[in-house]
Amino acid sequence: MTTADLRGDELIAARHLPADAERVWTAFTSAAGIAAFWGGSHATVAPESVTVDLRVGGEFALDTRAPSGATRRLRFLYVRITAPHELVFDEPVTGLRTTVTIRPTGDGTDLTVHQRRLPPELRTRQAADGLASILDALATYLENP
Amino acid sequence: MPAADLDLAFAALGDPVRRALLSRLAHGDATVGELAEPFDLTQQAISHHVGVLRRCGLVEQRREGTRRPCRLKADRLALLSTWIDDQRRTWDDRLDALERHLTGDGAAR
Repeated sequence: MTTADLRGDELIAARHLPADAERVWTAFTSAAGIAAFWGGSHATVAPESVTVDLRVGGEFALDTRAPSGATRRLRFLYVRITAPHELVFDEPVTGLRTTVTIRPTGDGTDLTVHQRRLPPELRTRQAADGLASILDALATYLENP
Repeated sequence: MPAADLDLAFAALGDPVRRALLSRLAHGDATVGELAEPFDLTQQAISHHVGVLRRCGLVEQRREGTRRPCRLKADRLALLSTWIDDQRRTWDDRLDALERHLTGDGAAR
């Protein structure tokens, strides 16, 4: 089961996986692995479109194809690589920074994906709590127009 | 919502006074004078904050005789939560697919 939350200034998705850390790492850092899951349930990734240059400053890239047939090239630059525990990469277009953390547990691994995109002004706990409260206020507003 | 608009809107929300103003407006329209009441700030300062919120489209101001009430544009705010929900959904889907990939590999071994 995934938990995915806006928590503070981060979007955090967490999942326990029934596989050891090396296999999860390989899924994130090999063309075959990325092709297998990066599209999620609503897009496909052609294996031949995936390129991986696994070094700091290198990039990985892929094409996603939506059910409508629309394709989109995604590129990510590696910022930090600590096999098989932590992978940090940026999307150059948006500045989106993603940190993947893999922690071995007794029967598999705990995987956490942190995403940051909010501008510098919002990278404080106070601002993040404020944003959360804004969304709460929005929900209240929509329930009680 | 274009990325530049998202930047403006999230940056506008980076200020606690502006967030408080939006929370107040979620409960109903108010003039700058009414908005200023709970704050230890001048009306000019509140006007400045309202200006920032207007420029990024989160608030609109209309004229009613001598009053100029402000209104929260909830649809605009909803676009921000949609952006967040999209990110959340993408990773939910992706991790489901990763789990299927890993489970499939395991069965094939």
